[in-house]
Amino acid sequence: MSSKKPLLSVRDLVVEFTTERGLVRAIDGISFDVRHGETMGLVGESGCGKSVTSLAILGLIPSPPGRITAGSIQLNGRELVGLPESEYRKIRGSEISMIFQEPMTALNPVFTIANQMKDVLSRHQKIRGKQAKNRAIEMLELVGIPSPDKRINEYPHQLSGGMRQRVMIAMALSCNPKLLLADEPTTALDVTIQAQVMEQIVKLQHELGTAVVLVTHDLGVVAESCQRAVVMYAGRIVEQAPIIPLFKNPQHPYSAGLMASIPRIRADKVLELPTIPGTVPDLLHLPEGCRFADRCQYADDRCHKEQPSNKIKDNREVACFHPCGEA
Amino acid sequence: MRKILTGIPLILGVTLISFVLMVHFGPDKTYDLLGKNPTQEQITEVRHQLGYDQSFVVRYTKYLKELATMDFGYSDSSGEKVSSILVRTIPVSLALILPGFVLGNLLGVILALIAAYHRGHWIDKIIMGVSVMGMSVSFLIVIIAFQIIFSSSKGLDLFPVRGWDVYSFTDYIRYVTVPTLASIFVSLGYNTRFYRAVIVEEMGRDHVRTAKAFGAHPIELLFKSVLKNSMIPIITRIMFSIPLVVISGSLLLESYFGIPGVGKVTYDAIISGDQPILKAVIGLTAIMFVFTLIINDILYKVVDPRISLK
Ligand SMILES: Nc1ncnc2c1ncn2[C@@H]1O[C@H](COP(=O)(O)OP(=O)(O)OP(=O)(O)O)[C@@H](O)[C@H]1O
Ligand code: SF4
Ligand SMILES: [Mg+2]
Repeated sequence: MSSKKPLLSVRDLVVEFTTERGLVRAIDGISFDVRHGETMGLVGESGCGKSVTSLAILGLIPSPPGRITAGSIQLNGRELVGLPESEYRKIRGSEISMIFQEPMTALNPVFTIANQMKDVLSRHQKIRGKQAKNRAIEMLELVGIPSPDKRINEYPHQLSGGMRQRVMIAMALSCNPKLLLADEPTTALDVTIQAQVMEQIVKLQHELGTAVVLVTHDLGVVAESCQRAVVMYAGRIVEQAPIIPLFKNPQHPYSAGLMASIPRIRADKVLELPTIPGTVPDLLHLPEGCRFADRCQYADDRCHKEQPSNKIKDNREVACFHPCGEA
Repeated sequence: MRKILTGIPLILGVTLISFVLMVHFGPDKTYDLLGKNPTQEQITEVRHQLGYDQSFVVRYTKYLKELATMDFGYSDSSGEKVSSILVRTIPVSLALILPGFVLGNLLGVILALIAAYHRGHWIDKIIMGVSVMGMSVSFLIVIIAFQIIFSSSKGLDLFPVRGWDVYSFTDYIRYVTVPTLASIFVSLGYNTRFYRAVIVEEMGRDHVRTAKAFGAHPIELLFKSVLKNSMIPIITRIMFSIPLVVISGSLLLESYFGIPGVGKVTYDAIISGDQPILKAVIGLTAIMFVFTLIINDILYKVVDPRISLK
């Protein structure tokens, strides 16, 4: 498996935004791979760049003010950075799909589900009319929508949040994408619905062999559904590793802090990323050394002066001078 | 259907208010008819003839009956039947206003789409800049300038300056072109700016981002994802501007182009205190207003499935 070429390969990606206060480097040289058919978690505090990463992969960084200023994103060996829009459009929704956080507003309120799903199918699969509708109904059935042949003629406001998110999933998978980007797909839903929708994503991901990048605040979901996870902090990747070692033995002090608080969150049913004392540095005034130094209990002089580089060892990667468990 | 029924109390309310205003603040014809130094008997006599001695309720009911039957009696100044004056002049006004109104809105939406599509680029900036310029010129100046440019010997001299001698379609075009151009010119800037703002706001919505993430072409985004959603504010603006356009537009255009429409008739009636005509015009305006509200609601329902006619 490991020798096989990855599906998606992101290398030294830099994304910058021009803001009134100055140039913000929201993503600062991140590299990671997504393998065929795997589910990869992408976690980190609010503002660390998770959504920007997914949008960059889809070539949808709002421009202006944003821009990919360096790095490469390859899908099956094909470079996506700098790809002409007309080519990129063929990839969006067909090879790479995305589900967004807000099921309430992500669908167009004035068109039926059938209408919106058929648009995607006719755009990418060149199937229209009755045939497209049948395919859409099939997809709705697959994501567990009851009486899909009736539901398909309804408008988004006639469906509940969970149902709408299922429609989004059906739409996202309707053209057999190789990669599904799910940006907090369940955050906006009720807790019980969250579990059902997540289950559905995992089930389909197995059945269809789609690779998934799951952006989430919920470490429990990561533990249950992902094979690997990438932990981001202030625009950088601080650690990435297979799930079991990552949860059992986190190496970066930031991930360790996140993991340490898991038993508590599960018990309290608090499904948000646990808070760690201190605040994320402002992207406009980043420290000279390690970005986590202000909040790190292991920080020493070197941490405040130098930036730790990402070191790869035993299938995992960490950016820290004093990784936990190595002392 | 239910909507139309709810329109009835609205019509009653609007006409009641206009009627109260008319009775209390409108001209009293007694002294006009009797001249200087009338006797008390003459006054009573004339007031009785005019119906001024009847109770308010009776007079209002009579007014409603007039509205319902469209029979407003005869004009004080010309003696012509009010309904036949209206039948003669309303079509002229509609024929005068409609092309400018429709084209002004249509061009407004088209320019707004173009500007929104090129948001932030020079095409957008030019369209918006010209719109602001158009907005800042007054209607009167536009009318006079256009008359000079198109209709005078100093300008192109292509069209008649004033009048409405329409017997054929060619005549119609000859007389309607300059007023139409003038009303397009004054409304286009406002319309374009408003519609562009509506479209740009809609383009920032989540569902547009979804459509992008599913590979929609920018043109498709504009016409499929955005246009129908923008229809509610667009329809509202169009419908609510109808009464205003009909009243002010026809008043100004008709008096400056010497066109015998209902605006001209109303203007003359205000000057001479011709109550039967004023009553008819005010009543019809109220009805028109209520009807535009009803049609507005029905159109909402057509474009937005979330709105239901209760
Ligand atoms: N349109 C934009 N304009 C300017 N800066 C932006 C823009 N979008 C994102 N950023 C910058 O990128 C950073 C990362 O944003 P991003 O949305 O990726 O965070 P996130 O990790 O998805 O957070 P959350 O968990 O809240 O969704 C933000 O802190 C912000 O500074
Ligand atoms: S490099 Fe230093 S400051 Fe940064 S996380 Fe590691 S120990 Fe903490
Ligand atoms: Mg986000």
